[in-house]
Amino acid sequence: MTVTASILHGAATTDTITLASLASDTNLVAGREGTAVSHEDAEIDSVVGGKVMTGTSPTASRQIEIWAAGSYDGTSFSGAATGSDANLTPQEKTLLKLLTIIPTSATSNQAYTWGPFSLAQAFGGTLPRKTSIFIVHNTGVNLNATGGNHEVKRTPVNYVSA
Amino acid sequence: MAVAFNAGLSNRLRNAAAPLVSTGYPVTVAAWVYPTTTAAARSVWSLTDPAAAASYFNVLQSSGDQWSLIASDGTASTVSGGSVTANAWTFLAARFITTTNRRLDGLLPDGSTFAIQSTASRAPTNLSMLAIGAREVSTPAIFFTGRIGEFWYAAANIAGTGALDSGLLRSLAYGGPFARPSLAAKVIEYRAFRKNRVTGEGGDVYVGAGQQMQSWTNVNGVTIGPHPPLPYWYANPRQRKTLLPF
Repeated sequence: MTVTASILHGAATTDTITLASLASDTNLVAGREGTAVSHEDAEIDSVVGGKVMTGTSPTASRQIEIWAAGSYDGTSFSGAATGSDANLTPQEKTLLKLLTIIPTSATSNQAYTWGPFSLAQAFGGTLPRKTSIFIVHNTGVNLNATGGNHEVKRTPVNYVSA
Repeated sequence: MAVAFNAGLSNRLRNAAAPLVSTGYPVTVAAWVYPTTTAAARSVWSLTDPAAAASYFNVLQSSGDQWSLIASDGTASTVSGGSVTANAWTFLAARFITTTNRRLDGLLPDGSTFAIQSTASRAPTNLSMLAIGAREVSTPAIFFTGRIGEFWYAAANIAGTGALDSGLLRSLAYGGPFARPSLAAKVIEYRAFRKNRVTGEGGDVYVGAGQQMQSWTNVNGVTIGPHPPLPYWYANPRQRKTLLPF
């Protein structure tokens, strides 16, 4: 009897992360972390993506960085992230995993859609117990003030056999 | 781990048998650079006649805290641009295209880019010495302080004669040369410096088709330091990502 394995994408979920009016940081350190999502005894991978919108009259040629923090025990997170939807200045940003860097322009209220990125691959092949997304930018002005113009979503990935 | 240099120790890496034509042109060299000092000239990379004082190609940070590109055949032609930021990573891609066209493009830590060009005719000769972290001329000088990672070079101009397109520059920076097959085919040598300084380990060193493994010397004890943060999708030369269903 032949068994076929295939990928099963679950329903996408939305992270809780407040990006509206997120302040710019010239040093690209002080940003916003979202609420951590648990992967314990669940999916093999989590594919994450989202959208972010710059504010009014941003400085040209700047960037928005998307990072992922992971927890090794379900409680402590890399870079002293907290797993909560809150402003965060990581202990050391390079302790997080860089997902992507979005180059931005001087266009006001410009929407950028990023992802999808595999969190399992970002963490060397295995999902941590929990992960959170950290976003920081240096566009010179606050991000767009409307919450609905920003989002982080993730899709769980499993294998099924039949 | 990137390689870490200390100008006070005059340390550098050098290859006395550069697999490049003695006139140098064309050559492309790129790397992530993390200077830790300013207000002094510090050499990132050079291709030189080690027996002469002033026959070389050089990529460096200037004493005026700008990134500079020099070609000298006895008389130096220097162009500078882009601000040097200490303790932050900058990606540099230098192209010595022809005797009258040399370019340096860079991605700065704040996300902005710069592009500089020199059109002054310069034709250095007997270029045989590659060095990272110094201008390896008859009296080596302009030593670097800081870290360098993801270093690679090609005996070719990887793009047209103009400044690098912003998208290509960022692709090279965050995806690496192996993310673009047409460019990857031109790479002569790639050293990630993730694992070691001069010896090769799987995936850390790559030499192009028809090339021999290059012999580098660690002069005065170059050490290692933190690597530039790169996304997981940065393409290493032997990286294979294959789904293994079970």
